[in-house]
Amino acid sequence: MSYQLYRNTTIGNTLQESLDELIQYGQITPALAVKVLLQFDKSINQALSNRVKSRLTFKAGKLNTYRFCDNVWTFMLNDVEFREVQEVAKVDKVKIVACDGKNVDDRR
Amino acid sequence: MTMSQLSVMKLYNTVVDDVIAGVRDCFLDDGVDEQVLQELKQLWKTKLQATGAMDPPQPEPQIPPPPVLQNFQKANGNNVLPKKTDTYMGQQGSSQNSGVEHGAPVSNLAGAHPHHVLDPNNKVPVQLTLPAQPGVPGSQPRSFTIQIPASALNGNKLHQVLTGPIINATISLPQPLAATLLQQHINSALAGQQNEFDGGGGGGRSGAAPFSLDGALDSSDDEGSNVGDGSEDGAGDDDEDEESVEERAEEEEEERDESGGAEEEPLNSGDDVSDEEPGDMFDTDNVVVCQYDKITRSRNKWKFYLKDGIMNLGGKDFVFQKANGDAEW
Repeated sequence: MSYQLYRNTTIGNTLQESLDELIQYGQITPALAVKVLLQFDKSINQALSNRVKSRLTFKAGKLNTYRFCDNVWTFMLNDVEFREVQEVAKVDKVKIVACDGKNVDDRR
Repeated sequence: MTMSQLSVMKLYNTVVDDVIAGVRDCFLDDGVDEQVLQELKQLWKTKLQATGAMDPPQPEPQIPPPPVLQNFQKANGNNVLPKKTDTYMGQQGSSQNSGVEHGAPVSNLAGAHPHHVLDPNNKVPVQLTLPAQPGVPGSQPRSFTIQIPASALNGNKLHQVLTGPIINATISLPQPLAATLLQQHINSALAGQQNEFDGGGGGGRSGAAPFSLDGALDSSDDEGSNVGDGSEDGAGDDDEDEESVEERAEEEEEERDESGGAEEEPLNSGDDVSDEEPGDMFDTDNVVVCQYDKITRSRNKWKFYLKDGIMNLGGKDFVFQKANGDAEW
């Protein structure tokens, strides 16, 4: 079982929109769309853990809110500075949603 | 952040191909034509492209500078850079001294075609030039094109909005991020000003310039706790809420005109609502979706050890294998 949380990203949302259109035009069934999404979960989880090598650090001016529910952490951070080596990106507000990474071996 | 962004496009292509290949048998089993599968792939890729989230960092724009700027450079030769640096440090309000170079549309509007009237709600592209970073060798002045409502070209609105702090904040950012940040800042700041002007100049409210700064780059720690200063939440925060907040503000302006007084109260009540609905606070444009290795807390100091993340910051996607960070609650 792969995490489904990546469905709520640019690549996940655009897939869901595409599937919705195909369902509306009657070209696929909702059941088939679900299978595609499950395949997406598998593919994106694998791709992230095997193909991505970049490392970042970040520093937040303030942890505004935190929430821990069903093993999922949600944080609202203010005045966050992301840093990758020399490069810096600043945002005034960011939401972090994080699932437990320790289950990673169970779900392969 | 170049690396984490450059790999995004490659990663997404891999995932799309992988998913399409992985469900081919499911499609066959369901008796769905291969053509539909290809259509899905095409739809998905098109939509992904359309988000602009994985546009590669823009190279320095090749657009020749507007004529005015060229003359300026010729006339002043080597003085161009120091002069710009001075002006951005100085924060003067007058149009000639602010750190903003107006592109051709502006000069047309102001000078050559005075009768050329634009719809005030039209968006006009304006070219800005950020000076080279002081003390950074090899740093170049950079130009962006941003969209602003035509109405903001009148008067000095742009100069009220683009003050020293925002320039300082964007100067060190990578090009696409800086452009996005500037655009967001201008949008939210102008939206706020628009409110004031539409409402007949809401008397005693805080001035436009300090208000506009808070939207994008307030680095003070008190954000969120300043319940008393209602004007901050009006335009600087969640985009989704902007319309309703504006409508609410307008309605309340009308009420205020009738009752005459109690100026802060309506906005405060708006704040109270958002305080009571923590759901609203979780709406934000910048989202990181990832997994945690470890989250630690010691007193109010938190440390985050994250991995396998997809971030959307200012409309651009980034990915990371590891991201460690800290914050105080």
